[in-house]
Amino acid sequence: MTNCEWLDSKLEAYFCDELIGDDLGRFQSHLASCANCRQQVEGLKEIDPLMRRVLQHRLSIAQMAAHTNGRPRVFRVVLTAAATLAAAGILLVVGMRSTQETPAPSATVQPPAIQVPAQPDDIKKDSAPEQNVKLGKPLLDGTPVKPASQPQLDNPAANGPEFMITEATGYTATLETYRGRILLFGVISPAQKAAVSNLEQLYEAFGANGRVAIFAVARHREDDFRGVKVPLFFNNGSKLLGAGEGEFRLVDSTGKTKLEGNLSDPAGVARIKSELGQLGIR
Amino acid sequence: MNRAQAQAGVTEADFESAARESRSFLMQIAVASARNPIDAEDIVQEALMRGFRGIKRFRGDCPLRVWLSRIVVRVAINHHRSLSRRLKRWVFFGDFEIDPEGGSIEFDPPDNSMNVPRESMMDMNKHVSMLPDEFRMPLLMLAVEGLTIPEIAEILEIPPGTVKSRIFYGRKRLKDGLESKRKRR
Repeated sequence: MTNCEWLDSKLEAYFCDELIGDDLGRFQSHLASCANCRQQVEGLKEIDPLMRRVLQHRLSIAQMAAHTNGRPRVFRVVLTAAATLAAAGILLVVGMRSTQETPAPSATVQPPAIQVPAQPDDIKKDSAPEQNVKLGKPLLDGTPVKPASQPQLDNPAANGPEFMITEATGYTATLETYRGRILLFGVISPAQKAAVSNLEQLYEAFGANGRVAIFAVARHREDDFRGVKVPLFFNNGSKLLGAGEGEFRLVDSTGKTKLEGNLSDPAGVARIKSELGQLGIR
Repeated sequence: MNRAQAQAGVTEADFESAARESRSFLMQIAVASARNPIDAEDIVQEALMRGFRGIKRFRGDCPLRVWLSRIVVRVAINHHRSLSRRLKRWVFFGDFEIDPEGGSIEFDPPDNSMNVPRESMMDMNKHVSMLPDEFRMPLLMLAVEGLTIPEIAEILEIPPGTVKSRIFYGRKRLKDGLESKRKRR
C-alpha cells in the first residue's frame, strides 16, 4: 500500500478525530509532502463553509415560502380538500363513462323545431352596442385589449385600510402579514425610472435577508412593468401608509413606520441603507 | 427550563414560552432536515402541535429544545411521504419546487452577501437535496450556528461517532458530486 492509499484509508478516522499517536504523525507528515493528498483533504474541509451558505440560502427560501404562504391555514386546508374532491370527482365521472354502454343509434328523429320569438325593435337597438364591448380577448387583427382598470382597488379609498396589497397570485397581504419582519416598499409607476432603479438596487443588496421584505407597489394594474427586477404587488384600495408615487416607507417589525421619503432621491436611499444597517440588516 | 422543572412536569405556559424561544432554532433544524426548504415552516408548525399534544411524554432527560428538534426531524422524514402534503405542494408551491434532476429553482432570491455565483449555489443546493437523509441532516445541522456534534447526536438519537462518520461521508459525496459535474463541463 502506497502512502497515498494509506492516507485515503485513514481519511475517515482523521475527520472523526480518531487518528492518534504514530498514525496521526504519519498522516500529517505525508500530507505536508504530497500535494495531491493535501488537495483532497483541503477539498473536504472546504465543504463546511459552503454548507453554511447553503443553509442560509435554504433558510431564505423557507422564510420566503412561509411569507408567500401567509394566508390563513384554514383556507389552505379547505382549498386542498376542494382540490382532492375535484380530482376524485373527475376520476369518478371518467370511470362511470368508461363502464357505460354506448346506446344504439335510434331511428332518425328530428329534434322539435324551436321557434325563436322575434325581438322587438327597441330591444335590438339597446343590445346592439354590447357586441362592441371589449371582453379582454384579442381583436381579430391581433391587437391585445388592455385590461380594464379597477378604480375601486387601484386607488386609495377614503375609508380604506392603511395598508393592503394584492400579490401577483391574488392573495391579499396587510401589515399583519409582515409582522416580525422589516418591511420596505416603494410606490412605483413606469414613469419613475429612478425610483424603480433605486428600489431594484436595494432589493439586490438586502432582498436575500429573510428578516426584511422588499417590494414595489403599483397603483394601476394596466401599467406596463415588464423588466422590473423587484417583486411587484398592487394596491388594494388602501392608503399605503400615506405613500405617494415615487415614495417609500420603511416599517419596523412591530408595524411602525420608521422612515419615509422619496425613492428617487439618493439621500433617501442612503437613509434607507443606514437605517437597515442600524436594524442589523446586511 | 431546567431538568428538575421538566421532571416535575412542563406546563402549557412553559411549553409555549420554550417553543417561542426555540422557534428560530427549530426552523433551522427543519431546513436542515427537510428535503425541500419550502416545507420547513409547515414542519415546525406540525412538530410544535405534536409536541404540545404529547408534552406529558416529555421525561426531562434532555433539554426541551432537543426533544422538540427530535419531533421536527421525525415530522420532516414523514412529511415528504404524505400524499396530502404532496398534493398541497402541488397546489401551492409548484413554483418553488426544486427539481432534483434539473436543479432549477423558479424563485431564487439574490444572494450577493454570500459572494457565491447563483449557478454554483444552485448546484450545491441540488447536490445537497440529492444526499440521503442520513448524510444530509447531520451535514446541514453542523452548519447551524452553535450546534455541536454531541447535540446533533442527541437530536438524531445516534452516537457522536456515527454523526462524525456520516458528516465525513456526506462531505465526500458532495465533493465527488461537484467535482464530477465540473469535469463534465
